[in-house]
Amino acid sequence: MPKTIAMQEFLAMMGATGFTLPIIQPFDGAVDAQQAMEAIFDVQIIEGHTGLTLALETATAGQGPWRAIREFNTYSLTQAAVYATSREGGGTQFERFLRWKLDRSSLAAEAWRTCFKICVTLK
Amino acid sequence: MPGIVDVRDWNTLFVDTTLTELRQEIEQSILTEGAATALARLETLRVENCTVHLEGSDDGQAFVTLLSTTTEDDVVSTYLSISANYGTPGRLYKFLRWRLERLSAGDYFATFRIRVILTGADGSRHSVPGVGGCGTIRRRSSGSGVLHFQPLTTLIGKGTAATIEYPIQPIGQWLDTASMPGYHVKAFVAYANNAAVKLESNPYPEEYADAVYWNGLRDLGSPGATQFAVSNETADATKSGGGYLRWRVAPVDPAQDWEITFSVGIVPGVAVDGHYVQPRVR
Repeated sequence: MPKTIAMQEFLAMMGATGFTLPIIQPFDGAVDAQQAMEAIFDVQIIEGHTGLTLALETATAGQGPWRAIREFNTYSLTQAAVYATSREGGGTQFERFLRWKLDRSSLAAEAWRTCFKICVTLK
Repeated sequence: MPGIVDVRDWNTLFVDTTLTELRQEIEQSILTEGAATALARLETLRVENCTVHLEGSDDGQAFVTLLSTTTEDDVVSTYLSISANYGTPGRLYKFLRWRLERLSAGDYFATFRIRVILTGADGSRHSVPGVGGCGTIRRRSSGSGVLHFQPLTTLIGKGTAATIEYPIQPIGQWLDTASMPGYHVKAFVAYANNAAVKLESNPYPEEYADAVYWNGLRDLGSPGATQFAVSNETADATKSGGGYLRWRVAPVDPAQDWEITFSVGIVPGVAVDGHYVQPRVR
């Protein structure tokens, strides 16, 4: 039975000049996808900043290590679906735990802002 | 039950110039009963023209500041204990809440979060039913009869000429009003810039939840509180609750950047026999 989870409700954040990154979703908000074979993420970014990235991450254990499933430059406003599977060799693969991470790629130390939400459907 | 609670997780709150302060409502505050000590931490990313407070109270009316900062990209923390004297910052009070206080005239905003680790007298951070510990740590949700349909939140969007989908309350959070003869909506807009929150009702089951079936109840695009009654027994579409209630946000001029901070509460109506009908959230 597919189950859709609001992995992150709409969240608006603004960073000061010289801010500290990354900002990572607290573990108590991370999704435990242990029973799932497939995951379809629905990512909606309605405000972003050049060089500020939003990554979907996965790990086999809560303490990590975490690796990125997909990374978005938040400047490119988007509503994107990301498909992943728990099977090896099946394309983009996810592990038991799922979370988001805000980080910089080419971002200078200027102030920034973003607003996004993430839903995930587990099957 | 975990002994770590968020008084507020990360979010940005914008506040209109007409409001001198913005505070967490008592129904949304954290109850600390059962805990003996706490470590509270306040973190900020942006703070503009305001002070961010963590406050405590034993009666829900008189609050004492436990932590505060006006600094961006800051972390402040404190140790709290029920053994400390009443009225002192080091005391762990029954209720914890956040508050933004304006420093000078004009708009203000802050991006912040407050996390509290509550510990029982036996050192436990997790509750064991019937054994004590932090068993009563919970959020108040029904003490005043107000259902927090949408806690205070901010949405911001970049202006674009492209056709994009603007925020709509997720389907799982719509209010199922089918069992209620009526209810009151208590909505609050703290800040609005080129945006409005639209409250809509739909008399049809969710499989028919297409945009064409939604009645517009109110467009809230100006700061301030609004309260109005909704009935399932009227033919007036602007007052009819139908089967579901939801919110969505729409920019006035989609080509320009937009921002809005709002909350929506529901007070159930009174049934014919005098009993309150409790709403359910789908």
